[in-house]
Amino acid sequence: MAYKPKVLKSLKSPGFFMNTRKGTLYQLTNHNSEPLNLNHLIVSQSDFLHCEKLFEVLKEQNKSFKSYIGFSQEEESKKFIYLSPIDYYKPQQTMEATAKADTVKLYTTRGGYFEVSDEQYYKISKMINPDIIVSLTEIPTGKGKKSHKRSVEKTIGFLDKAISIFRPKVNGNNDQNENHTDKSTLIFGSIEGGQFDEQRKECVQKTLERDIDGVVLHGTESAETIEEKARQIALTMEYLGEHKENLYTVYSSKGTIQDILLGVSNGIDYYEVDYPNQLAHSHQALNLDFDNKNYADTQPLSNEEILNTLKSKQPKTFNMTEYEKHKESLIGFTDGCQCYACQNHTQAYVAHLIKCKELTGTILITIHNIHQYNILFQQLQEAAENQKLSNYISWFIKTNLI
Amino acid sequence: SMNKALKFVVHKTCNKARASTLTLPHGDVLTPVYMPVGTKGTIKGLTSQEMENLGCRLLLGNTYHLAYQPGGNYLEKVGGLHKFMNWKYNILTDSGGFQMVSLSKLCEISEEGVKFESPVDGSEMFLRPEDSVHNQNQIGADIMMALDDVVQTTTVGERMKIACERTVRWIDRNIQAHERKDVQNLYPIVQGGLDFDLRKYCLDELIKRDAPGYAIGGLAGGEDKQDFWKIVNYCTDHLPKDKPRYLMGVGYPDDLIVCSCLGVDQFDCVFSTRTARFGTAFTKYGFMRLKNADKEFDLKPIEEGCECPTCQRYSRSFLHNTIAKEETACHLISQHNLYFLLNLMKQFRQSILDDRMEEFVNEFFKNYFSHEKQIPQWIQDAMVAAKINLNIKFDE
Ligand SMILES: [Zn+2]
Ligand SMILES: [Zn+2]
Repeated sequence: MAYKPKVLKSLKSPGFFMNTRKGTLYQLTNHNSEPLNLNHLIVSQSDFLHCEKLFEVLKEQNKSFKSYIGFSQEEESKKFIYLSPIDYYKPQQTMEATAKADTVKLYTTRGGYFEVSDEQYYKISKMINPDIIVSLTEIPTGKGKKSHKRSVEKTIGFLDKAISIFRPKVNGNNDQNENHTDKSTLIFGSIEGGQFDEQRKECVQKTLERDIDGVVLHGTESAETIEEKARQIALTMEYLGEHKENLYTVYSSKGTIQDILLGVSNGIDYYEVDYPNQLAHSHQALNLDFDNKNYADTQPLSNEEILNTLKSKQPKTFNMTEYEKHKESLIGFTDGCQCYACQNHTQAYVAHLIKCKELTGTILITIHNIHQYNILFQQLQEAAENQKLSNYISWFIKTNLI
Repeated sequence: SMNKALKFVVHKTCNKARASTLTLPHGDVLTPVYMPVGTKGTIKGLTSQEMENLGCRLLLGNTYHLAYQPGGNYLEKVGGLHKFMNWKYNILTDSGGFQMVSLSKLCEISEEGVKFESPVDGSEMFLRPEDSVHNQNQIGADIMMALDDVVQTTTVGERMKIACERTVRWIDRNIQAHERKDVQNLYPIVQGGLDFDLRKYCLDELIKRDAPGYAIGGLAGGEDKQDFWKIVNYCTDHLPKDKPRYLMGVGYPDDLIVCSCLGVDQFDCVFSTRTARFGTAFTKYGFMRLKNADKEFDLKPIEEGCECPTCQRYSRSFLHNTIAKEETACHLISQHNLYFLLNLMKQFRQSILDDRMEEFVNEFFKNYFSHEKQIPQWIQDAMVAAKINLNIKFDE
């Protein structure tokens, strides 16, 4: 498969955006998150929806949002914020539809759903001043075609609003002022449409007509089977056609290993990722083998074979709640892993901490899991550069899914 | 007499207060020192690396918890607690007696030991001085505590006398059972509640054993502050000048300063990390409740000028907005509180070395009680005993 690595400032592709909790990595102090070198973090806007007054105070005191959530001065210029309306961490569905054309209900940490207009939403977004803004979207109310149609219409409306707020036209003369377009915030258009090809196609087409830098594929979480999911992704990529070479494509999901393999097989560049945190939350440490010496020689699997595997198999993990199983393991999680946890602590120690309900155990697992994602993406990038992505995917599936 | 696995050098004193270096098998500890409590083999929410970075060189483990999970035999097999938690500096363990009394249904104390009900399965368990020392030998702490007969601080009369006498009888069994005298130190604990005569009896008997260091026990149990400092003062008056003194379970910032002035060298307390988890931070102006509404838009760090990793990056507002939702905020406040106490002791020590301790103590209390605009009487009285002139005028 052809894979054209694109560079989003510092980000190689395939790459990932790591989800945060109110701007910080799950359970990690900055001391623990810094060595992970994550330069692209997802901020969930609903975490800050009620913070308008806070943003005013920040502005008054000339402080940036990035410094507020703990970025050092040096990090402010090299760590990017991807502002998303959807948060795969929240226990509830993060959004509810409304009858009005210009509002949605967002689930906030402050207690339940909060109706917000697109105007208000982007006003707050502007105050956060993200490097990438994902346009507001509406998750369809129902499974029917009608609600998907509505969702697409609203989503396109929301995109227009994003453009009008983040790319205000100067003097109404856009041709001459093209060079002056403010690109300090990239705009990524949300793609909805669910299982309905027609709606999805319409959403893609209308999005492409607008001044955008990337597209975010939403709505595949509701797919009932992995085939459906794969079909939705493949169709969206097909509708994007040659445009995808000039746009950043992002897959919005929990970012499981399966999601990533599926996305990469279909040529998606970037991934929203929360899964390493969710695994750590349930005390699962990734146990992936990254000794990929022979990946290039691995025979590529067919799409059908990949789907069948993804359907039935899971990445290998250690269940650290199984104390008896790990108490004699006086080694790190995985051989050769260079993360802080593996370099300094043992499975036995982590299993002890988990048994004692000590959060330091969860912290160590989070560090390791995110590090494993770092390695996975480094290897994907290397394979992409060598035009050997299909070989790598097949090697990875054979080695790491059981 | 006991062999020692420590060296204690007093560099300089200011009246009763001392600036010293305690050299233990896992390196030097500058005293007076606050020792963070890592009950089950970790300081809650912080990695060993973070503790090292905070400047901690001596932390606590709780024998009762560790002997239960992962177990003494297990720890011995894997090379001790240092190796198990990858902590290259010093560890102190308690005897397990205090936890046993506070967490278990106590059945009976006899000359042989303590019989209690296991909080896990309700079965009858028995802890003798020999068992406690054996557990601590297996854990491998640099400083171990002798098992004593623990009673409530405010107990008076016959029961306290029995406890003291038993503590003294048990110390020889503790010493006898100690199998690693060349690499681990055993501190006896001075008991006696609030009774000076019993304290004296205990002190005389324990000092005869020529231990490497001594602990003052049985305080911080809800006694009156006037009683508290007088007992501390009495003990430090009588304890050997060339040995470290550890005041158990005491760790509020003002307590640390008062008792350091009275000649205590080591402190421990879970309060700093426990209170952090409820959103309370230590500052030189007293406690700060980060959950209070007035912190919502307060962009200053917990304490201006604090060099802890938390204050370098995060504001009161951020911690306020995050604390109820994310545990990371608790870890960050714990980190600040630990740094605060570690650094407070470091600065106190430096002030002795620089001949400006009195000035330091005056400034500390002036700030610390700036809201009350009044120094508590017990502190004023304790400072008289410590021969420190308090000359504090609060602005109206
Ligand atoms: Zn690792
Ligand atoms: Zn601080």
